[in-house]
Amino acid sequence: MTTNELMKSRLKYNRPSLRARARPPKNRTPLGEAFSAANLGRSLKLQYCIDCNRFQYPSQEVCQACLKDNLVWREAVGTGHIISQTALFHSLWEFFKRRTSQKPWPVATVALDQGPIVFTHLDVEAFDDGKILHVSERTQVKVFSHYDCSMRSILITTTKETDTQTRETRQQIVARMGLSKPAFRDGGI
Amino acid sequence: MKNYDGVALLSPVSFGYSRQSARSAAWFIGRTFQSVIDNAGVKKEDVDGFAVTSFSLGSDSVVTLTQQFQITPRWIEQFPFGGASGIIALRRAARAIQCGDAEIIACIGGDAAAHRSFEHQASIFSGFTIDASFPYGAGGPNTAFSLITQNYMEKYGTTREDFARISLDQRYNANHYSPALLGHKTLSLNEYMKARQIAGPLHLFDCVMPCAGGEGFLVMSEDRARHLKQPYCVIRSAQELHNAHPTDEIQLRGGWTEFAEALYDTAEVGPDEIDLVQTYDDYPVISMLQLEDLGFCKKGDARVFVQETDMRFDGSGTLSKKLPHNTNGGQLSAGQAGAAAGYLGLNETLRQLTDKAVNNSVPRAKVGLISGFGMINYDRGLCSGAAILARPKI
Repeated sequence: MTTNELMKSRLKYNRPSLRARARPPKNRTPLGEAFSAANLGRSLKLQYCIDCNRFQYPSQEVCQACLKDNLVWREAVGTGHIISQTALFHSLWEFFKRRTSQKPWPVATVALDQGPIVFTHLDVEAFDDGKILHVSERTQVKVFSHYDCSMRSILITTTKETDTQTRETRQQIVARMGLSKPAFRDGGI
Repeated sequence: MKNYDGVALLSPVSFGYSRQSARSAAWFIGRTFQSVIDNAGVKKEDVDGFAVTSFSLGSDSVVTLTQQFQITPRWIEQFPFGGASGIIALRRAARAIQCGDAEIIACIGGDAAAHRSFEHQASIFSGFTIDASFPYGAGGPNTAFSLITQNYMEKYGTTREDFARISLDQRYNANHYSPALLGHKTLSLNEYMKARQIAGPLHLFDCVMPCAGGEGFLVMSEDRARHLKQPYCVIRSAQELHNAHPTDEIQLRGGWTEFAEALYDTAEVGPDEIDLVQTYDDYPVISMLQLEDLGFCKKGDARVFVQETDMRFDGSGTLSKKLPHNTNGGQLSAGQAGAAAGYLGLNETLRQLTDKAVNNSVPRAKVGLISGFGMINYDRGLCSGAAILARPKI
């Protein structure tokens, strides 16, 4: 490696803002990786305790209720209601910094009908043609999972009516939200 | 629960606040420790209890620091519990003093703020954070608090003008407290309202500024403090509760609701007899939750309370009701020195009640309440604590 290449690779590591391609956070715990793997090609799978008949999220080592570890990944329905929603104008991460410089990044917390409270990206364009950012509280919604361009499963909230049955329909939503491609910088490293 | 009789808190030090620093946490902790013992006239060798609070110690801990500082304590503790660290530290240390496990305990909080260190800290804060909140926009605590604030505003009709009351009065207080990082600037309602939007309803002056700094104090018996001829405070009562109300869909209250009554009963005072209050103010909405849960007003009425109450340290505002609140500007104006910020309100109360406040002293203050709140693990803060301190009876 020439000195020039070495300096460039160091700069790329130390200054995310100079990268040609910025991606969403990739880091997960082993449990987070297991969540990603379980959700590949599925619309939504969550940890489920077969003793307590209970879903839980975020993924954990033991059941929150009985503290045993008879946990499986089980298909969840994904329906629920919005608890609160907001839009980020500022982020600590380069990918979202570039996205929020274009338009605010919508997120929401949703109480799933099957129990867990999930923190999700919000497919705001599915609501009111994306013109109104505000999705009123307690709106009935649907949550599904898909992978982003860091190849990690993430959760997305959309309308109850949106079709999320197939991998293709989910992919379309993720692409529309700007999660399927890195955020580019012209002339970056 | 046994009370905290016979325990003295003294020698509050706030050290080295800066927006960014190449120094590590050990420097802030070590230098704060030195100031704390110097101010009290205590020798390093006499300190036999050492408690440390920090998020940025990395591979080091309180015990590796004992070798760095060459002390030989027989009691050590570490409280990396964010905004509740101060109250947890004073509770643990007070018990150790009462039980004779140590005679002089130094409780020191210190955190570094190197370039991009806050981003790193936010990205690895906890397992839940790594897997389930940071990947969603990476806003750090701003995201969780914007959701809480949005929900609170819709539920109780609170407006940005109400939140501004807290930020504006605190900035006035910071203007009279020299270590405050934003204390050299004034803040008007117009500036507050027009500030840059950060996340949903949160704008620039609703968010704390992460910084580096150290906070520390000493805990010992009242006899020892009198022997040292140092002014000190006593603990009238102190409480904590963690992961309170776990089934609430979103945070509109904290553990204070469960122990506020016992807190006041033990201290034999009511909310109306409190001379000054320090709430944990990483965002104004959190101060409002604390004022409500600790009985200064009813749930949801904080918007009325702040519009009726002058919260300046000297009562120089125009409103008729007075309650000095976050009398050194709180974190919103002083800066949030990582986990050391959990000591900020406690140290400010100690300064006020030992007549060490310089330009921001609250006239005739005798009893102070401190509230702590910490650790946004996923969607809510987990630790709540509160303490009532007073001047000793002579």
